[in-house]
Amino acid sequence: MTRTQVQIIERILAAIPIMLGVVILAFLFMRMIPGDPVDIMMGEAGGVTHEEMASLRAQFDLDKSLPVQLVLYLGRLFKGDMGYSLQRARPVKEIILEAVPATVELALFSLLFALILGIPLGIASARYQNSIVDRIGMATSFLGISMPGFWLGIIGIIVFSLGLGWLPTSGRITYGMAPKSITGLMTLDALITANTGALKDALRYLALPAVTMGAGVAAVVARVTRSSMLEALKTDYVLFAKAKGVPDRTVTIKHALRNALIPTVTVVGLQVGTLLGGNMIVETIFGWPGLGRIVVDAIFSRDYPLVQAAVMVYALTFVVINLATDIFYTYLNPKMTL
Amino acid sequence: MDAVKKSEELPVLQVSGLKTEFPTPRGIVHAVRGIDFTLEKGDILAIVGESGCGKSASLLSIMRLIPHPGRIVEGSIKFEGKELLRFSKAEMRGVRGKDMAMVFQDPMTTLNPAYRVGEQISESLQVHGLLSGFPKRLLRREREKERAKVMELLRQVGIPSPEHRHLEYPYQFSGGMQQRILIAIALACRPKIILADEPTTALDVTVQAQVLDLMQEINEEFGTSIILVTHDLGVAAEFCDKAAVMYAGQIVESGNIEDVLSSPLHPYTQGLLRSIPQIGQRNELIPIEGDVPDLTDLSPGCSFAPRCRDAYSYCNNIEPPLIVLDNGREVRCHLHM
Amino acid sequence: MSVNAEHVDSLKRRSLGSDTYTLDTPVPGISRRPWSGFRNISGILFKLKNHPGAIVGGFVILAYVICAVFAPYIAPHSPGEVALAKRFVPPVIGSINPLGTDQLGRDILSRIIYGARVSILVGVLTVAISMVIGVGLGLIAGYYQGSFDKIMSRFTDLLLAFPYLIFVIGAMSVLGPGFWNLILALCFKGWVEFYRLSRAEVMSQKASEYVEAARALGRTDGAIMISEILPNIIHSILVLGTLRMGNMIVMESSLSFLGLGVPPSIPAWGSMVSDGRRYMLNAWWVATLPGLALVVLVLAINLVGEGLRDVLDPRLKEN
Repeated sequence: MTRTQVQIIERILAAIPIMLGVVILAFLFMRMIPGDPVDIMMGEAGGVTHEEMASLRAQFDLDKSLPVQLVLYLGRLFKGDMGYSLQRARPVKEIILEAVPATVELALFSLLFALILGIPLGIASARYQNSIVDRIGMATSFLGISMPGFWLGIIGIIVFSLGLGWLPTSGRITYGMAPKSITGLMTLDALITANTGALKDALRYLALPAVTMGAGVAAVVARVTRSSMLEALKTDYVLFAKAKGVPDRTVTIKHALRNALIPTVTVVGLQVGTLLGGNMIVETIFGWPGLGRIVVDAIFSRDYPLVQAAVMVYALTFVVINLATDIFYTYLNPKMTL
Repeated sequence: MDAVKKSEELPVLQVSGLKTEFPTPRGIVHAVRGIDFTLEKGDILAIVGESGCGKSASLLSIMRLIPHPGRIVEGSIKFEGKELLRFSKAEMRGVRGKDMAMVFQDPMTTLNPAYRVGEQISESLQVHGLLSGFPKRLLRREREKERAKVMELLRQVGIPSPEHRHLEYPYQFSGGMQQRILIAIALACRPKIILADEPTTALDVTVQAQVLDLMQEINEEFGTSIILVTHDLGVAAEFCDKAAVMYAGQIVESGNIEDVLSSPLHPYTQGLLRSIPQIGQRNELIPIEGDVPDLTDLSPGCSFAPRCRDAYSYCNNIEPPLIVLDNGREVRCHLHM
Repeated sequence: MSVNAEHVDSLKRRSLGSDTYTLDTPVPGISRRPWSGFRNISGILFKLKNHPGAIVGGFVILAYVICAVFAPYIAPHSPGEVALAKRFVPPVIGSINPLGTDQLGRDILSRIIYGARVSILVGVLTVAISMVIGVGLGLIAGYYQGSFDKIMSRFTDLLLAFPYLIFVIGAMSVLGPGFWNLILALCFKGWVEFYRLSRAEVMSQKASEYVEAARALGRTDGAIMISEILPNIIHSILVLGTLRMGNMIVMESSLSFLGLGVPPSIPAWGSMVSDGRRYMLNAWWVATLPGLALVVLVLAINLVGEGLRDVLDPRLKEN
C-alpha cells in the first residue's frame, strides 16, 4: 500500500467519529424540543385520544430513558429506518430519497456554474492583473460575496421571468414534459432518452435557481483562484517552464494553474456548506421540489422526524464531501500529508 | 560549407550595450546598465558580483524573460550572429530551452512540485519537437522512445537507478539530485549555451563540487558554452575560463580568469579578493565598506566611487569609460586611464 | 521552530499605526502599557486612508446606525401603520411614500429604517457574544492545551460538520422564532471560528520572549493572557469579527425570509422581502427595496472588513 493510500484510509477512519457525532446531535435535536413533541405534533390535529398519544409516544420511544432511546435510534438507523412522518403518513426515508435527485441536480448545476465562471475569471484576473478584466471581475465577485441568495433569486425572477419572460418562475420542468425517470436527474434522463425537448425545458427551469445558488460560490472561487494564481505565476517553476520554451498558455494552465488549484479545491469543499445552506432558500424561492423545500415545509408543520433526518442528511453530505475534497487534494498535491 | 564555417567563426553569444530597467513605485531600477561581453563556443564565463548587482537580471535579459513590468531598453543580444531582440515571441520560444537553457539557483522551487521529474524532463523535448507531444505521445512506440531518452539524460547527470526515479516527484530528491535534474532538463535539447544562475549556492559544499564537475563534463563532452553567475570567486576560479565582474548593473572588469584573479585592476575586484580567505595565506580579511548603491538613484560618476579607497574627487562626477587593455582585458575605472 | 520564529517576527513588525507599538520594546509588561497601542484608533483610521472603499463603507455603516438608533425621529411613518386605501403605491421620490407602500399600505422607507434595528442588533450582538465566548475559550485552550483543548477540538470539529445555515435553521425549528432565540442559534456555532483563530494565535505567541519575560516576572496566567497575549492577537480577531458581521446579518435576514427569524410583528428586511415575493408581478418594489438596503449594508461592512484586514492583519487571507 502506498503512503497516499494509507493517508486516505486514515482520513476515512477519522471521519467516522464525526459522522457518529452528527447522528447523535441530530438525535438530541429532537429531544431538545421544549415540551412533549407528540403533544406539539398532534396539537393541531385535535381529536386524538390519550391512548393514541401514548402509543405514539411508545412509537417514538419517548417512554424510555434517553440512552435507551439513542441505542434504539442508532439501531434503526443502521437498518436504514429513518423514522416515520406523521404529517405525510410515510416513512421519512422514502420522502427523502424521492427529493434527493432534484436537490443533487440543482447542487451539481450550481457548482458547475460556480466553477465554470469562477476559475476562468480568477485565472484571467491574475494573468492580467490590474487590467479592466481584473477590476471588473473582482468588483463583481466582491458584490457576489455580499449578496444574499434570496435577494438575488428574487431579482432574477423579476428581471428574467416576469420582465423579459425568458425563464420560468418556479418548478422543475413543464408539466407533461418530464422524461422517463431513470436516474431522477431530469437533464441526465433527458440525455439518456435522447429527449432534446425535455433537456432544453429542464435547463430553462434550472438556469435561475442554479445561478442564484452558485453565484456566491463563484465569487469565492474567483477570488481564491486569483490570489493563488498570482502567487503561482511568480514562482521559480513558472519562470523555469518559460525558460524551457513552453508556450505562455501552457505555462499558465499546466504549470501555474495545476498548483493554484490546490487552495481552490479546499475552498470549494468548504463552500459546499454554503451551497447546502443556500439550497433551502433557493428551493423555497423557485418552488424546486427538493430536500430543502421539504425541510422548510416540515419545520412549519412541526414534522420533527423529517426535519431531524434531513438535517442529518445535509450534515453527513457535507462531511462526505469534505472527505472527498481531502482525498482529491492528495492527488493534486503529491507532497501533501493529510 | 561556407555558411557552416562562418557560423563557427561567430561567437555563440555577443551582448552589447544591454540595458534593462524595472519601473517601481520608488522610481526606475536600472538593473542592467549597458553590459558588453562575448561568449565563444566552449567557453565558460563567470559573472561575479555581490547580490543585487544585476547578474540575474542580465541572464534573464539574455533569455528575454524579464518579468513584467521590467523591460530591455536598448542593446543587442546576438546568438550565433542572429539578433535575439528582433525575434518574435514564437521564435524566442524556439530558442529558449533549445539553444539556450537555464539552470536556476534553488532547485527546490524551480522544479514544479506537481509533476514527476521524468515528465518535466520530457516536456522540454516535446516543446521543441524532439519527442512527440500529446496525443501521439500516448502511442506505445513514442512512450518507449520518451522513456529511453529520459533515462539517458538522468544517467548522464548521474542519477542512480533512473528507471525508478524518473517516476518520483521533486520533493523525493535531495537538493543535489534536484540540481542534477535541472541540469538534465537544461541539457535535454543539447543547447549551445547553458546559463546557470548561482547553481550551487543552495547546495552543501561537497555537493557543490559534484554539480560543478558535472557541468564541466558537459562543457567538455558537448562543447556547450556556459555562463555561470556566482558570487563565489572560488567557484569562478576553479571552473571558469573567463570572468566578468559586475557592479551596480555594469561589468567593471573582465578578462581571463587567471589574469583577473591574480592581478585585479578594478578596486572593486581587489576589494572582493581581499574579502575572501585564501588557503596558504594569512592575510587579514578586509570587507568592502559601505553598501551596494541604490539602483534607482545612481550618481553621474563611477558607481563604486563612494566605497572606493582610491577614488579621486572627479570619480564621483564623471563616469569612467570602458578601457580595453591588451590580452583581452577590459576595465571600467579612471585609475587605468 | 523556524515557522514560529518567522511568525513572531511578522508580528513584531506589525504595528498599529504608531511606531511606539512594537514588540521590540524591552521587557513588555513593565516599560510598555500593554493596551496602549490598541487605544491608538486614530492610527488605524490614518492607515485606512489609502482604502477609499473602507472609508465609504464606514460612512454607510454610520448612516445605517444613525437610522437604526433614531428610527422614530427619522422614519416618516410608523412601521406598522396600515393604510389599506393606499396599498401598493409605487415609489416616487419626494412623495410622502418615497419608496412606495406594501400590501397593507405600510410605508416601505419607514419599515426599512426600522428594519435596520434588527439587522444591526443581530450583527453586533452575535459577533460580540461569539467573540467573547470563542476568544475566551481559545485563550484557555491555546494557553494550557492538554485535555481541555482536545475535548474542545473534537466538539468544534463536530459543530463544523454542520453547514452553518442548516445548523441555524435546525436550531430555530426547535427553538421557534424570536429575537433571542435567533441570537442563541447564531452564536451556538458562531464562536467556533473565533475559538480556532485565537487558539492558533495563542499557541504561536506562547513561545515568544515577551510571554517568557512576563512569566519570569511571576505574573499570573490570567494576567499574561489578558494583558500580554490578548493585545497582540486582537487585530486578527477584530478583522474576523468585522468580516463575520456581514455573514451574520445575511443569515439573520435569510432566516427572517424563511419565517424562522424574528416574529412577523417586528419589521425585518428578510421578512419584508418574503412578504413582497407574492406581489413581484405587480409591485416589484415591495420585495426588492428591503433587499437592496441589506445588500448595501453588507457590502459596506465587508469593505470595512477588507480594509481593516489589509491594515491590521495581512496574513488573514480568503477563505
